[in-house]
Amino acid sequence: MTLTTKAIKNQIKLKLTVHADMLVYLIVLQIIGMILFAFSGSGSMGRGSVNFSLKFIIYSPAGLFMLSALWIFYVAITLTRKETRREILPYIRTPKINSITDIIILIYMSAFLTFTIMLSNYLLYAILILFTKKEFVEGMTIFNEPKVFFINTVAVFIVSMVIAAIGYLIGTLIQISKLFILVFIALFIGYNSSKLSMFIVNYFYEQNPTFFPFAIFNIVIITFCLFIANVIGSRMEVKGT
Amino acid sequence: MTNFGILSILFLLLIIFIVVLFIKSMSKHMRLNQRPLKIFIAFYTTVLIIAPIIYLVLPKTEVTILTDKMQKKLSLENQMLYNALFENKTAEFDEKFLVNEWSREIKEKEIFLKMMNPEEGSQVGIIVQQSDALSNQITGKLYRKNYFVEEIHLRNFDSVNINIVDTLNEPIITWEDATTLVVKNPPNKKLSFVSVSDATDIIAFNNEDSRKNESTVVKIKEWEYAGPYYLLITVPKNIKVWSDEGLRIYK
Repeated sequence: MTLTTKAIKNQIKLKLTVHADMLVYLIVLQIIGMILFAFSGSGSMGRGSVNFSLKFIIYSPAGLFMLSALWIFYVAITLTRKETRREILPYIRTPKINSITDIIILIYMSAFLTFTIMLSNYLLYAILILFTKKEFVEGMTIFNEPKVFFINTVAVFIVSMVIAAIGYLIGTLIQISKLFILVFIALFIGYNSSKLSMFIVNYFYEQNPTFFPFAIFNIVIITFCLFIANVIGSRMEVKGT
Repeated sequence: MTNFGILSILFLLLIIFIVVLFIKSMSKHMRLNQRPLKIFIAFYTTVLIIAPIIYLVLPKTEVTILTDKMQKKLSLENQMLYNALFENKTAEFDEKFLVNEWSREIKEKEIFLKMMNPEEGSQVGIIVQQSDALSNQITGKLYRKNYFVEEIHLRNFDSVNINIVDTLNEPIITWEDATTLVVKNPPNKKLSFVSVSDATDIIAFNNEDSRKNESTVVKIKEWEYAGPYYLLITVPKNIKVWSDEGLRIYK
């Protein structure tokens, strides 16, 4: 084992211990989400006729994902904070290793998020079966459509990594100057009202025909954000020393 | 997104903010020990791993989703019942389709049939048969056919076909006075089902199956043209039957 890998390994261990309480926040968020969605579901659809009205309450991991996405964004920003860095500064040798371990931590956190989201849905179903007497229409579950489960697990992981990478980039930029907060708010408002956002949301997040263009598009975003963040981050570290 | 949608998200964010603040203030006073923290995370993870098994094992009331074969069978049964009603050969279908039966002696030589809500569309197909009997006995038989909601395409869900006849309300049939029989449409029944799926359509792409039905969110093709009920009234020849909605009288 080379010295670098040993350093990386030790740093990951250290960072995981430092950020372990973050996982508790995620669990609390998910429990809140489960309680909220137990009443209403992630969505509902219905239709009426003369002698009956039909309502389908839909339960999918989408609702919980929205909540957990906020968490991963928060985690990514926290990783870049000066206070957090200072806490573990004595153990960090090079900015490069620090960046690598940050990315590994984000991957680890995203994986934990994905795992808990996809399975907490089943916990919610079990609660529904135990406490309500509703009739079930089984959609795509791990038991009858394992392919859907696995492909969606990968999709949730990729999207949470996108959010983490964007959060990491934003966090790094904010460390340079707090004025970036204003820039991001302006960009967010501008983006939401622009045609570009309509195109991206429509093509890549709603009507994307297959999994692969979706995955490639998101991986490109992840790589781009993390690369820029690392370039900026390493310069900051150099300045600091 | 509607204003209400934004409000609900803001409300959610507020709750999360309060909870995060609460946890933060708690952790200031009481720094979580690494060991209980690990135990808590491990416990939650274990519960989640077991959850799918619990879901699989727990007995749940599941909707019977009809296969093509089952649908064809039900459709054939409906057709046979329809034919039997007009050929006066309903006896063999009584066991499966007869809901209730009544008879009534009348002194007058005519009766009136009235639908209470004809504008809603007839949910009860009335068929009047004339019998050769010379008595003043009128008999009524209420039948319900297989009635199912067909082809509901929920986004990311398979096609769902459900036979809902058992859950529908029955029509109300009463005698308003000595000669007027009133048929009131069955009261609206609210049916609610829970649909579960792993498809996270909100964030992505999705599965090819869902693309097929993308334009159709919920499509219901109601079974055949008439409602789920038939009322077969048998009257002796000497009694005349009137109705504002029109009648089909068969010998």
